[in-house]
Amino acid sequence: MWDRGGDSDVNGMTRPEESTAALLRSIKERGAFSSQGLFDALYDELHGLAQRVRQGRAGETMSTTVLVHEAYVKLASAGELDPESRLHFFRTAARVMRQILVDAARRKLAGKRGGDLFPVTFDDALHAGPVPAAKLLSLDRAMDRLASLDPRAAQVVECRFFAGLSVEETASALAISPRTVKRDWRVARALLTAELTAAEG
Amino acid sequence: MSTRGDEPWPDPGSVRPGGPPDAIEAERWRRVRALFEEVVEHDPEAWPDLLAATPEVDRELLAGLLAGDRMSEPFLDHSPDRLAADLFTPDEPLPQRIGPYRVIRLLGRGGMGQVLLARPDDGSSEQDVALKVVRRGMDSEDVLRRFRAEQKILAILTHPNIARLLDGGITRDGRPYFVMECIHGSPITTHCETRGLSLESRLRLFVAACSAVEHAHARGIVHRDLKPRNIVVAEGEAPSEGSVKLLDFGIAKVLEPDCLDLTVAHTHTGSRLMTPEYASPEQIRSGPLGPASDVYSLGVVLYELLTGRRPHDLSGLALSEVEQVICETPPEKPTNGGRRLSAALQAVVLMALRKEPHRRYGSAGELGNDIRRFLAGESVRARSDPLPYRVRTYVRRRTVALALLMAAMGITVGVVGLVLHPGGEVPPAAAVQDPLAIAVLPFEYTGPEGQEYFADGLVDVVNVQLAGMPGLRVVSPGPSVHWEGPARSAGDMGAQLGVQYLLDGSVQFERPTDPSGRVVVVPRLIRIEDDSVVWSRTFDHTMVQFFAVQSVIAREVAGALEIDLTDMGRAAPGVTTTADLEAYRFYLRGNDFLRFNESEERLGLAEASYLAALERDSTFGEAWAKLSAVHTQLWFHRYDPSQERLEWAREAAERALHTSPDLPEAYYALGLFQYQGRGDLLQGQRYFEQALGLQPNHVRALFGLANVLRRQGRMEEALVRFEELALLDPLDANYLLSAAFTHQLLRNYMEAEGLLATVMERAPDLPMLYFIRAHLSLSQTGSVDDARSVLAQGMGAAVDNDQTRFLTASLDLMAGRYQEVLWTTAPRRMEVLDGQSVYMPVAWLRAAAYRGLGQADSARVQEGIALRLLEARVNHDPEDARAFGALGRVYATLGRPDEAIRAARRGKELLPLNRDAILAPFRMEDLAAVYVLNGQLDEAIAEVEALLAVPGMFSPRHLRADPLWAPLLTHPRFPADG
Repeated sequence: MWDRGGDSDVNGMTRPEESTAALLRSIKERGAFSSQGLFDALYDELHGLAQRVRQGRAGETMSTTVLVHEAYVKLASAGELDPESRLHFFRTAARVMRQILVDAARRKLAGKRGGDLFPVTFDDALHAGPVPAAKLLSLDRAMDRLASLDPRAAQVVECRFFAGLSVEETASALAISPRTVKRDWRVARALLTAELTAAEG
Repeated sequence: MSTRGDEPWPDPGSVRPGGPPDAIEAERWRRVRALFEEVVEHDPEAWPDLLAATPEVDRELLAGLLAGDRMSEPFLDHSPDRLAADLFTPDEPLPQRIGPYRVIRLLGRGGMGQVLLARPDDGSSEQDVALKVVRRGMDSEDVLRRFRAEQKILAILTHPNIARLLDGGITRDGRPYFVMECIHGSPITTHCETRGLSLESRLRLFVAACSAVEHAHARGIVHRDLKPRNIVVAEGEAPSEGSVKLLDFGIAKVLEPDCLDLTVAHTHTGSRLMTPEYASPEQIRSGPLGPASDVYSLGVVLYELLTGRRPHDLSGLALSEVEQVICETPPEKPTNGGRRLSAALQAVVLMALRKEPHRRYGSAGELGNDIRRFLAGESVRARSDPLPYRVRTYVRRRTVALALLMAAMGITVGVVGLVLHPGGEVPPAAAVQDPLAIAVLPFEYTGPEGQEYFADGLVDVVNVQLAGMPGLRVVSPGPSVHWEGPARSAGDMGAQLGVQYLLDGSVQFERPTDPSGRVVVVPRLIRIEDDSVVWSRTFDHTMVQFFAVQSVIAREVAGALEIDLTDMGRAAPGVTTTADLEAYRFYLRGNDFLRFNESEERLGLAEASYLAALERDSTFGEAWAKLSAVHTQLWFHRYDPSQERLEWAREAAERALHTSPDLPEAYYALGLFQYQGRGDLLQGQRYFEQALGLQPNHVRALFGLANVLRRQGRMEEALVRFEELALLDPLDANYLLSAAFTHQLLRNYMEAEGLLATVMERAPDLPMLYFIRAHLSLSQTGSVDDARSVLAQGMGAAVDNDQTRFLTASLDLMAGRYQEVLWTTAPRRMEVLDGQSVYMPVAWLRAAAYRGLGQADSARVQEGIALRLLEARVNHDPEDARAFGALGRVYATLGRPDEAIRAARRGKELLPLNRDAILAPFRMEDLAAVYVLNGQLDEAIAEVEALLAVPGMFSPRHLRADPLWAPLLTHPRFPADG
């Protein structure tokens, strides 16, 4: 459903940046947070960016932080974004990044035939192939649990980890203090680590 | 570990993301989270107790959280960027063959490419190998070139604990690949965690890793990318089970010569995404790397092995923050959860993690050895640093006004006192104390029966040497005294014999009467008061060297006692105790400046320090003596060639003797003045010997004596002393170099070569090293090119002297590289090459080059310049033998044979063999060259024969290599190759 391929200029839609900016404006006007619409638009944008990067220059490296910021820059140049919209953007972008990665991981695993999933006893950490995809999915599940207990902490994790935002940026995005960000991160990390370890058995 | 409490945990399928939280769960979470935040405010050691105090219902969840907090989870602690990169990469189909290997399957993906399991395709082996193919974007020409170069170096790394680089090549689509031994195992940290290994087991594994790294360090190779992933413990069947293997040696250097492994949120191309957790400060800063950088990385691994986490938490930090943390923030003292780590072990880790490379262990081997010592219950070399490392700003400029220096030092003096006396106390001015007493006990002997007297002989010699030390009373209990073992009997022994120290140890012979048999001597100096081993060493040598070992032991013991005496504030033998603490502190400061090298800057600072000491106490004999030596050095190295400087040197030495008549240091200073200042070998010898008579372990006096003997032509005697010095101070490669040079002069080329190889490993930047090696090469192979390439290896200070420059130019001329000579002698500032054995205008070399190129006019111009300069020189300094020798050559080339002979003969007269046995042969060579240029072949041969009859750098192969001597080669008396 989400896989739109390489190019995000599709289906006769207006340019995504414009549509996102328009969306944000209309959100403000309506005073309601239409998360799904923004989410979809951002997903397209970020996913498209990611694909272009991947297929582009061979030496180019992927950085979720960079993607998020690049997307932001594009949006900001397409229309004015007031501070509130900006916060919405980052919060949502963080969730989008998480989703993008999870989806990519699912695709990855779906393509496998099974065999390589079990680690060989050779330098475990080298398994950047199959294992991280599976691990990401475990993390996603653990995130769900965290979100059910402590929604704000889960959002902090999305911002910090998935979107790669700094402590200050996260604090702005979630309208909390940096100290709270750190506190949330620490306990969230502790829970997630415990969950991940448990998942590995 | 489960995080379930006594209520069922929400079933994953039942929770919608963002759905409303269950009220009871939420309340519980709030409670436990608050507890968590409170507990983590405390020291981790207190956590178990705090946990026990929580209500049972919350305990398990809290325990889970606390455990999660302590664990490092690579997944969360890094950014997901690499993950993202990987997830978005479509899977490349695996190639079936790469080079001569058949690919079996994918093992994993690393940051730089894929790792494949493979096997040789021709069925020549059933052995699995790991084949690393570099990913696209890394397959540049540059990488390939570096790879080849690195392959050559890595080929010499054969060690059971180093995964060997077996092969390498390029794939069909042009990407480099490496083939390595395939190791089945896990990273050392994981291995220890999952098996719950004890501290001791972890340390032993770590020591094995250090040995492996040391194997490379000893060969000048730095790993650059040490981390648990590259330090793998093999798993599987014996015998490999449990053994440590190092991976990826040198790969990092090939792929990333300049910058390494940084998490960088950069957007520009080419930046890499890996983690900096194990990178040293100098790596982060992209500075020059040495073995100490590996030591740092090992330190991080050690920290992790001991505590379960890394010294710095870098998760989520931006690059600039990372840089700051690694380069400036001191690491937390390592503790292990509920248990405290021993202070010694802490000190070892912290020393490895020092920010400044030179303050860490110098190599992985030293780190490993200190841990071995810890495991054996001995004291470790690492000392905890009482000062924050920043407090080290030395005053830099030599010409700083004394007052300013004193003021600056005044501020740091209190601190200096702390640094030099780890006990925290400055030695009080002492009255004369009871002489120190030591008992020398029979050494435990292992060897063939009936040969015990060899061991007794050792003890006797040590006794005699120690007895010669003032302030030390030596007791030798006879064989009727039984000696059980150190721990319990020490106190009794001490009381019975009335001594504060015991010297004992063990001697193990293989074949005492065979000169090539081995002997291992392990002496121990024990302080009765606290049963501690103050000093111990292992000497492992052949019988021939055993006799040198005997006197070395005595000297070292004396030295060790001296150090201890100073700590206790007693009068160390020969040291004039000054009543003035400040003066003493300045004195020690001066010594400290001279500890590592004697650059102009350090000599200046030392001079100022000693002067400051003397300002406070003008009767401080030691300070006068050291000051004198500094003056002499400043003059000798031409930092201040004035006569006045030399006068100061003499005055200071004499004042030293005047205030302290039996001061060994004063005699040393006089010896140095006579030898280096006045060139008087016999006087120099006399004073050095006097110094040694008073203080047998005076290393510098021994070195001075050795040099003086050598200058007199007493090569063998000098050699014995250089070898003693090498045993006394095995870390100082200078002594090995001196020994090597002496062997070379004696034309023992094999011995020289062996020693030089060791020096190359230890100190490849020693000045004159390449000069000596190049000459050796010439003597051994007669190949100008070989010698020339030896010189090309040297860099910087090691070849930055006129002696070496002259040799370089000469070799280039011999090889016909005339244009090269013109280029390298082009800089205007070089008018004359002014070295110990040579005084030659650069114009002369250029003239020879022009002649070689057939440009006669230019050559003549240069010859004129050279002539003018030399004639001016001998006018100005009629004693300069070198200039006369050079003048001789110039006259001969210009077709003025009689003047040539006169000049060269004068040079020879001015510097006869008995005046300086090392430099005189160069003048003899000048004369011989003049004869050849004049066509007087019989006279030339006579000179050559005389030259070869004495020790020197000259050899028949030198003659053959240099076209100048060509006319002589057919002479019937031309010497055969030695």
